[in-house]
Amino acid sequence: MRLPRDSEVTLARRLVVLVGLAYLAAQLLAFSLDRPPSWDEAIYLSQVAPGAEPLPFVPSRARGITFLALPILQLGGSLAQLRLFLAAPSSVSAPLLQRSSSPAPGLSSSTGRSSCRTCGWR
Amino acid sequence: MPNLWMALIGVGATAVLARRLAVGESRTDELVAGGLVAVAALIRPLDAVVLTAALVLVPVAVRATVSWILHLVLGLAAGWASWLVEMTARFGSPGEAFALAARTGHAGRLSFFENARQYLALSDGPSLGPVADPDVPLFGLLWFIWFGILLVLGDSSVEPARGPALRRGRDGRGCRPRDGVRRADRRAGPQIPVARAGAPHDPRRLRPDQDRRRDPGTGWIRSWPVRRACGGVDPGHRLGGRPDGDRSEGRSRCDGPTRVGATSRPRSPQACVRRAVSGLRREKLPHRRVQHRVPRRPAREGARGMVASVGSSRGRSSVPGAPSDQTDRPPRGTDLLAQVPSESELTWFIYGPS
Repeated sequence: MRLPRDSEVTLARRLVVLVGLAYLAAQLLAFSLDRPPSWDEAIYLSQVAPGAEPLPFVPSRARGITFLALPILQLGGSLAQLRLFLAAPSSVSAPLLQRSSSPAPGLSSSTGRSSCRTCGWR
Repeated sequence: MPNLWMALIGVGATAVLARRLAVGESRTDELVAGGLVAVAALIRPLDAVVLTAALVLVPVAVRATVSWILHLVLGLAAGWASWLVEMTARFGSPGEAFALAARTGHAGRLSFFENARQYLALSDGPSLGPVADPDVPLFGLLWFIWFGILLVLGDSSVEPARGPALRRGRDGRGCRPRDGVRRADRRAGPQIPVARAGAPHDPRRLRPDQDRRRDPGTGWIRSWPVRRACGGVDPGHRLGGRPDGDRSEGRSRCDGPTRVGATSRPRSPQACVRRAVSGLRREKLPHRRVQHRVPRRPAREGARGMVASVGSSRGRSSVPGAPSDQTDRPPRGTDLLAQVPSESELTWFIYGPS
């Protein structure tokens, strides 16, 4: 059994930060912030958007995600501002969440999880 | 929209578990994990069930902790509560809501393979399901394979973290190498080590392939009672190097008490001794009584836990191979609090912050 050395932990953390930055850049540059909302987005946002008619909220959905959008929409923010608001914490939270785990499983796990998250789970 | 956040929460909760298994237990970890599960259940209730199951089953396989499970289950219940209340109000009962969700969801059939086909079909374009007569697209298939590769990579990289505890049983006997101890030391700050000197193995706790190590003076720390005794002491390494030599630090056998673990939270000396005796009793190790009255002294801020070492009842210096100047002297910053007779001629010497 070999736990990662300090240098490996440091490298892993830096790589995770790099992945977070790359993810933020991808969100901001690869997609337009004011693109039309998708079906899922429309359903969730219509629940909390002021003046919007709530779309049918089927039981397979839960309201937790609407709490993220609530403050921006209630303050009169636009869709682009909401997307910007959500992009920043999602990119920042990835390194923060993985920072706690990097001492434990080491380099391969941290970077593996980062790539797993950024490549697939949008 | 919720998938990313659910994934982030899952990564965070898994990271807490990995750190807990690798570095040590902490009540903060339990609260954080329970909170993350609650938030996950607010976002995706069913996914949170899967997450909770994984977070519960892995520790159960390694070392069961009621408190950990309790926090997770409470978090799951707290997150589910809002969905249950809303759906009961809207559809009459959660069962009705489940039935409707199954009819309108992407993959709500009671068929694993059909659901898997739907998910794969939805991975390449359509954002709404279910897809009629779904084909498995190449992209979906590649994604599925890549996911399997990530699973293998993750498992192989977590293996060192869970280490011998998982391989050797849930009590973690056999202990963890000093790397883990160093990390625990660094994390816990001025914690108190737990050492066990020169204790022969207890045959009840050995597997046949470990019997060769059963020579006096090279005993492994039996971490379970020690860990229990000090409330979060995670298994460390034994005193005096491995039977095959401790090359990394050049130790010979039994060269004195060694730091083997770290308490994760402060405890009073009384609590430590009480738990030490309780651990011995639970392990069915011979013990009689605490010979010395333990002084009432609150745990100082920053001084965590205690020291427990085992030596011969005829004197600690008689531990085979142990230099007397190291075993006679209490570790720095500690006083002898109690002696608890243990198996055969051995005695626990329990030290606390001075």
